[in-house]
Amino acid sequence: MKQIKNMKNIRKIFLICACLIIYVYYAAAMLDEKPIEEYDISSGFGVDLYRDGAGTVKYSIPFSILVFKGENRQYSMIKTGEAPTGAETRQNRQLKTDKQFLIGSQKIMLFSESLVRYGLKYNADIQFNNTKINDRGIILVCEGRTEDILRYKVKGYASSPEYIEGMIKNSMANDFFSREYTILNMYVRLDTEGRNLVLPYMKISDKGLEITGLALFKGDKMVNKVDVEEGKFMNMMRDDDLIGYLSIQKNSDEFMNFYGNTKKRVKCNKVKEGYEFEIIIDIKGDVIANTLYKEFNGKTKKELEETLSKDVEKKCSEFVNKMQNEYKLDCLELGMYAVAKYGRDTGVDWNEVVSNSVIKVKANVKVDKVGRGAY
Amino acid sequence: MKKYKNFIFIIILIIFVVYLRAGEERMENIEELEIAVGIGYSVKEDVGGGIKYMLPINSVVYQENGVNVSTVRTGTASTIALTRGERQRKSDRKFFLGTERLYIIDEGIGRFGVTNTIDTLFRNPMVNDDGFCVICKGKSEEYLKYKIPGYDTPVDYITGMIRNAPSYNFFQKNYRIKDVYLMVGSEGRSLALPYIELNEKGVQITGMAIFNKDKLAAILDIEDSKTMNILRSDRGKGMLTIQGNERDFISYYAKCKRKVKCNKEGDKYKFIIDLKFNGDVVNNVMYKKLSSKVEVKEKFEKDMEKKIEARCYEFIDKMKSQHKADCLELGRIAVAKYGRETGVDWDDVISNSDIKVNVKVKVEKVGRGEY
Amino acid sequence: MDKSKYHLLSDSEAVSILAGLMIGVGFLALPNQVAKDAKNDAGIATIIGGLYPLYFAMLSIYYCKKHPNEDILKLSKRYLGNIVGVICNILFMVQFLIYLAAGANGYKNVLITYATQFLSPMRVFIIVISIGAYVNFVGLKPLARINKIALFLTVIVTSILSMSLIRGRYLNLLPIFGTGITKIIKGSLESAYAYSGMEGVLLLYPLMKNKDKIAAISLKATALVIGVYSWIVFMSIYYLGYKVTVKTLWPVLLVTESADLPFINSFRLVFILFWSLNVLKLVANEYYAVVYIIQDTLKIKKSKHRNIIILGVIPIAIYLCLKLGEEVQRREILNYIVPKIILFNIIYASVIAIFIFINDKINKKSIG
Repeated sequence: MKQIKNMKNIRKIFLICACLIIYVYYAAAMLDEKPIEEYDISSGFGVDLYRDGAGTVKYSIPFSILVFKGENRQYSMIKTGEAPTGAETRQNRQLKTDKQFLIGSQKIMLFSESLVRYGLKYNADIQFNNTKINDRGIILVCEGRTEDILRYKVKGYASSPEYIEGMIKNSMANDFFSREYTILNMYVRLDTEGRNLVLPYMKISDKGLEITGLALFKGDKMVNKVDVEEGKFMNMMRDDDLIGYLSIQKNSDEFMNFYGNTKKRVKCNKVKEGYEFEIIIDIKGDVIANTLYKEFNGKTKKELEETLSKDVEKKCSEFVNKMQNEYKLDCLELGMYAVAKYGRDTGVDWNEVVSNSVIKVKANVKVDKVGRGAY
Repeated sequence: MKKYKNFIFIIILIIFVVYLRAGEERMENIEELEIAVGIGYSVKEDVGGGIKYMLPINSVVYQENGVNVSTVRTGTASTIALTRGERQRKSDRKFFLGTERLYIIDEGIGRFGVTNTIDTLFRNPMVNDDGFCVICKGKSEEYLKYKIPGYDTPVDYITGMIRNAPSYNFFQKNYRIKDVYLMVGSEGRSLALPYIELNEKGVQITGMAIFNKDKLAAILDIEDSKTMNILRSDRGKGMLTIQGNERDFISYYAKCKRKVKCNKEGDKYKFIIDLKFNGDVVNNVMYKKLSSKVEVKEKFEKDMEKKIEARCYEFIDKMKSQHKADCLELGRIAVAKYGRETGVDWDDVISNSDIKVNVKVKVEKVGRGEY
Repeated sequence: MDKSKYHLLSDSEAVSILAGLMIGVGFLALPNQVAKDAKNDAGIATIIGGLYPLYFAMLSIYYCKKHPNEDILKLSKRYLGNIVGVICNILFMVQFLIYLAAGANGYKNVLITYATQFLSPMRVFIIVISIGAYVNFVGLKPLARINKIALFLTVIVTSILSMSLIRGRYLNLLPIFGTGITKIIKGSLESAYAYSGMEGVLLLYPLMKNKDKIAAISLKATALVIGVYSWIVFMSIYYLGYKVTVKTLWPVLLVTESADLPFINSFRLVFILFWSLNVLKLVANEYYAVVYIIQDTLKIKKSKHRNIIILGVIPIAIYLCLKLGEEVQRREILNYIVPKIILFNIIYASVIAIFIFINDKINKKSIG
């Protein structure tokens, strides 16, 4: 009996020791991990590029940090790291901050115009490598220094990135902005053949923080920008399933507002002289405000639909013209359709080909609801 | 008698308790105490040619409503101990030592010699040995008075900086007062502390201050500090970058381990420092196909090894010729092998010894792929 | 229940184990490997790659019909002679050992890149190999049940990937066959590593309860795996396009970003959790194959001795894991070794099949 008991005891002791050793072995790996209070929680960051006195390129990456006092969010602070290369800014920033960094909670990323005109890919690589980054974070290009925008105090908001998030959501609901201005989409569009990157553009104006348009990219460099109105039509031809407002204004007394949802299709044909594209946009929506038509019946409804359709076609064609002659860019991603039909990696420069091809735009507007009647 | 037993027992108990509590000083509530959080050490030239110690103390009164008041009071006197009395005269509350988290020592004192300062701290048993110790540019009072929105006192911010610094730049975790005692007092060791500066953007660590015995030998900039930290400490974490031209660079974040071997040949000492780096490539636009071809990865490892070696040798030369101090604490290794208290001046000896550095670099992770 | 048949594999368990031998670490990286050559037709290449497990499924049906109670180890000793047969068996075992280490190593790489940066490789290996060993202590039936659960989870997780149907572009898949047949075939060869494991069927069919159902079982397993694999490759190309797929080491994880689940912030970590079970199961499976072959070669029947073998494999496995290094090295080593293994398997199994055929004919002649 005693022998069995001894065996059992020895086994128990052995088991306990083994457990302790295993626990210590793995806990040792966690020694460097710290509780959440020791981390900077950031709602957004910016990437800037400037040249210092000697002409060397320097990256400046400010983070907007939320400072908690007790359990309440009190302030937002900006902590910036500066270095000749992107990753080194982390090391530089650690010299200035009292907490450790947590990358991955950021919903907004601001790239300064100076950075995007220089080229995005040096920065894209560091985001791509970092597994903690929030791939669904939204990117915006901003005029001036990102630090100024991050410092900008908006009433009622702890920090500007939260306000910017709201702004973008609004644009997605009103200006036919795509839902895909995310980091993940940046990776995809930067490198896929026939695809093209476009990002929202914002600045600090006299109205405060404002999204004023969209930045157009050639490869990974920004080359142009369009304002929001023009951008609406570019977006309609470029992305699918967007919503926003359209309006017709004859004069200050007669106008009509239409809120619709767009869907597009593209047909592509290769002819002897090059390529032919046809973009068909179907818009379905409701009339929101109307002082243009006295009453709505079958005839006026059709008239309205035709007017709107022609209007959209006209504005789209104007944009296409500008795109082909001025920008010389395939910002409608038409190359993607050609590639799908005629083969990849053929060495074609789609920006050039599309600028020289025939592009037809057709719009079909359908009015669903017309409100309660005319006033 | 039995009935009264309990009664008598209670009486005796009461007398006993009253006796014990009678001699007690009345303890104040925490709201009435100024809790010292940071102490600065400065010197200034006195009119008569001597020097005066200025010790600003930053203390916080913690109030119930959460609004905590931070004040700085400075005591000036000819010795550190006397400053205490001088300061107390300016305050209306009782001082409470033992809770300080930060000791800021002026660059000025560094040049003068830190022995007195360290000695005073060492003697006082109330001193919080876990407090951090840093060297500052300018006057320590400025740092303690600096207001940072969202923080009760700048001491919170600065201690956070030092505490979290080890995650980059190969900083160590031994910048506390208890470590300083050892660094100054032990044979073969030397003092090195973080150096902070205050500018319009705020407080920032800008390098390391290295000492020759108890006097400041040099202030190293951040790049030299990184190299020194790599060579000086057994373990460290930080980032190293190779940059070709503007658009070609690669950054590597690694843990570093150090082993030192010491040999004596005649009168000359030879040291071999083995450094092992193990880390990840975090940003790469220079080595194409690093994440798909082993040979590219190995080339990078070799290139990085050469870079680090070059950097180390450059620093060691500087150390031997300019600073003439054993800031790598190599003396410690020699002492362990060849005996203590032999009267050797290690700073001198190391400056004339042969130091070789071997570097091994290993890449563990390459991220999610290559863009 | 028929007690003597309890320890045999039921139909569903057999299907699960076979699928479980194939689905493992390669799951996450598969689109990357195939798209390198097949580009946008990687999905088609993956389906073509399914010919490999299909071949083994066919072989297993044939083996089982002719020798329902003898697995390939016994058959190789019988037909190739004791010496050559045993050598081939040992080589057969070595491949499972390699796959074991490759699986654990690949898992370690994903885990410390995405989830637990602070763990060192050794710590991950100790846990993974220990769990593999532990499952083997308890035997075949529990192993089969784990496979069943893992298969179930795999199918669920793969279906969740379909969320990216909303966000992707079918254009990424076009033009179909635009890449050219040669490149597509090259791509299908790359998928071979992912499909490897099916050879295990030649060890397992004697352990099945209903040997007459072998056709249904092995074909079902093959079809399931081909389905799962081609689906994830299609999804990856559909959502990311082939260029980005080629750039990412683990494209499937990037696709999980597209999953916009209501209350889960990052589906990626949930995915890693579920998929961890898969890898542990794969390691346990390979472990079982290794131990089984060693047991057979050394003619060991006692369970106590079997346990010693299991323990003995632990250090060997950990050593191999460490040798494989990190992901770049691992892929390069595998790229070198796997084609040779596959070739060996095909030749080995086919030669034995030929021998069975000849033997059969001879017997028929002598009978009839």
